[in-house]
Amino acid sequence: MRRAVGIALLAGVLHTGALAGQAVPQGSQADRVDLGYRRTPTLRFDPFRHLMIPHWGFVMSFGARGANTALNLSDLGALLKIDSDDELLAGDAIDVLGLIPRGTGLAFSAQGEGGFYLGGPLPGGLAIGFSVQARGFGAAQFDDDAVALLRDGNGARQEFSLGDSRGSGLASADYGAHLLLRLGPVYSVDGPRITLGAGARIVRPVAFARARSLLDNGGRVLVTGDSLVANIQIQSLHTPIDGFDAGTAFGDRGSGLAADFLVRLEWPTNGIALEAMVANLGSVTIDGVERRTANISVATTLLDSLINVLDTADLAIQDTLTLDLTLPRVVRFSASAWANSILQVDVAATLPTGGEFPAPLAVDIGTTWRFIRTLPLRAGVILGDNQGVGFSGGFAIEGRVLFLQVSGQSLGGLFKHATGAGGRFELGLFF
Amino acid sequence: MTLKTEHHILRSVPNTPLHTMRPGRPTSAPALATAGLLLIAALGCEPGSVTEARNQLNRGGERIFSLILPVTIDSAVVDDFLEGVNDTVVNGVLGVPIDQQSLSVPVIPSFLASNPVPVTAVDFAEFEDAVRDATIASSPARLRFTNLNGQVATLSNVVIGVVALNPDGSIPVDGTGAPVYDTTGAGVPRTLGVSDPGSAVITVAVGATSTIDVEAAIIVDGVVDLILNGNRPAVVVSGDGAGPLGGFLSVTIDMVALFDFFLPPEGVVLNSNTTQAGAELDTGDADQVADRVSLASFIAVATNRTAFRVDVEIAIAEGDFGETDVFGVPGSVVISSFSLDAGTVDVTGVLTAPIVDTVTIALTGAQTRPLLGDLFTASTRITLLPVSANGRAVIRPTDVVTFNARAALTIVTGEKQ
Repeated sequence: MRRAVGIALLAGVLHTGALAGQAVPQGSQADRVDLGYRRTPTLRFDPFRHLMIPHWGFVMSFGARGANTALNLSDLGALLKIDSDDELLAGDAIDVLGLIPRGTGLAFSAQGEGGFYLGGPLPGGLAIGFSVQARGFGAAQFDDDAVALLRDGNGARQEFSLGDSRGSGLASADYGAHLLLRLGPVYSVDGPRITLGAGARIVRPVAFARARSLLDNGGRVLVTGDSLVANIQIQSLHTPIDGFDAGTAFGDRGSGLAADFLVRLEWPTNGIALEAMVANLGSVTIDGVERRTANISVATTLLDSLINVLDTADLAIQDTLTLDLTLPRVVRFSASAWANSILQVDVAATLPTGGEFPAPLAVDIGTTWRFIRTLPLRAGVILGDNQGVGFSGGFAIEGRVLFLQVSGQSLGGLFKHATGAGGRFELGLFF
Repeated sequence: MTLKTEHHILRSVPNTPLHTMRPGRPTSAPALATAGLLLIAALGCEPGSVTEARNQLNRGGERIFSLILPVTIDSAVVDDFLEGVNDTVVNGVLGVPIDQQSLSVPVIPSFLASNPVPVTAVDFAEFEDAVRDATIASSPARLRFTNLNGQVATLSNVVIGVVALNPDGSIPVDGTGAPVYDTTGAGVPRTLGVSDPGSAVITVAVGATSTIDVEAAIIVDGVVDLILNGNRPAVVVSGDGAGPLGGFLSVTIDMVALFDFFLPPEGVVLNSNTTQAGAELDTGDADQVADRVSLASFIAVATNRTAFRVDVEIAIAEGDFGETDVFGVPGSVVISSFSLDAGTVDVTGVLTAPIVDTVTIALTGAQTRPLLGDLFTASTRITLLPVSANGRAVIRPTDVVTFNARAALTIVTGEKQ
């Protein structure tokens, strides 16, 4: 099935011949689509997503995506079935551990956002938009060096560590404004139109959590038939959940500023666009972060001694601090072209990020089919990211007074075989 | 063990041990979880049956989980078998004191005095069976004769002996009125002549106590055997007295049953029962884990610093059976027996060179099942076998078996399990 979808997409693209330089026939669907809607939406982070809509109005939107590297939807369905009709047993946990791929460990990532946008075009090629969003990022990585002991035991290897295991999560409330300036065409009537975008968002942290090893390479765990050695230091940072209330969360947890920039070049008659976006530049200060540490240092020949150490190991409160957290920077390069009068092809590469919320390179290849100009149908392939190959699809209604967009992703496989999923819903009303 | 199906990240909990910490939800978890459930339902990802569901989780294929851990590097000290016993050490050999016996001996010709030994006079704890089956080779006794009369007392032909009292508590006598002494297995009466060192008699000065130490294995072995076999022994003192006519001497006898044995060729058996906490898995968990265990083994390099060769049999049964031997209990599992070779032992039963041996116990998955519940009872039969030519062996408080042990567990899971 996955192969069939891929071949169909590829055939749709290739039968049109070379993409570059393909002129958009006058009067075609492609020619009549507003430039604002030619910017294909993404399920990834995009602060400019609604700013190009050519009408004043507001848009309510929410979306989420989550993925892991081990369990697919059938596995999750199996766990639900066992939990509802029987009981999840230790052996089931052993089976689940067996699904964690050797060499890569177990990784989770999730993000979600939802909020409101109000904006529209201004005279002079300007557009302005105001947005209020609730956002959440989460990522966790259990290094294979740590998972291997639970998954395989110590028959083949005896030395383990936490490796690069870590996890972080940040929930925030953002509000800000973004501005677009459209220039051109330059040089000639067929010359490129340049769109410059910039904006800023106030970021209010709501909750934050992080856990990681404090020792290089994740410390050391040695398990042999003769000795047990563990030298591990774990640090956790989190904003306390006890006594949580909205007032405290939005008012007293700190603040930050994020900046977003966009440059887009479009050749409307050729149907080609290039874009670069750098977003989420900035940091947030989080107050009242509780820091806890746990040290486990034991070298023994007795299993009981190790158990005693683990029994008494606590994540002891060290102090409470104010944390300056660099936001996960998003750098994305996109290109799109009209393959023919109804098909637009997009390629976007989101560069890998490190730091608090690491993510590998992800490439989205999308197609938009406009058999009816205001009813685009979308299908695409996702490469890279945490889960390899994925698929996306969706549709939209781009009316004068109504804007509706629904899209979904099947990550790491198709449907039952997917190890991740995403979805987004947007509803706009225009004046 | 019941697992939850929520997506989790680590959550720190104050003062909670790390390994008991439960993961917590990320901030966006409720929305994601709801969306995930809807997605799973919409795509029909739930298998039709629990069996299909478990097959789905086995899609990773056959997989072997192998865990090898040092269970313990510990010492099994022989003295541990005497827990709760007021044991003592005589000349480096472990022993159990027998309650002091007190008699009043009339200073007359052909005197005969006796004292029933209560069955509670000795306590050998786990060694009871072993002591009954073996023959004590050496045990000291100390006799004290105290003369509170106004005249020197002289005792001659003094003999102490052991008799098995008649059911009515009387001393068994023959036709001449002489006591019928208990005998050894070879038919030798359990009697012992006693006199002052270098003299044929015992002389006790006025107001004085005469102390005499003797080797009394034949007496102690008799007392102990009679008690452990359910009979009532009595210590008898006979002889001829001269001195304060009508007077009495106070006599006390202190004996120690030394663990200095002549072992029968078939050895002696120590039985013990212990009830211990198991892995505390639910029944379903335990059944499933036992099904998947391919092999559980215990491999120990043992250093035997005792004067015995040791054969061990262990049976385990799920539950608390108290002191009931579980070897015959339905559902019990008899673990394959193992033997521990002995070192070099001299003719006095003293270990002169320890030995290093390897012990392996292998359990199948089914055999591990009793260990996975809340409680299990283990019955252990330890047979101590003689090593020296004459079968003599002593137990010293330093006798120890040191185990350098590791446990190996192999679990096969996946499609072919």
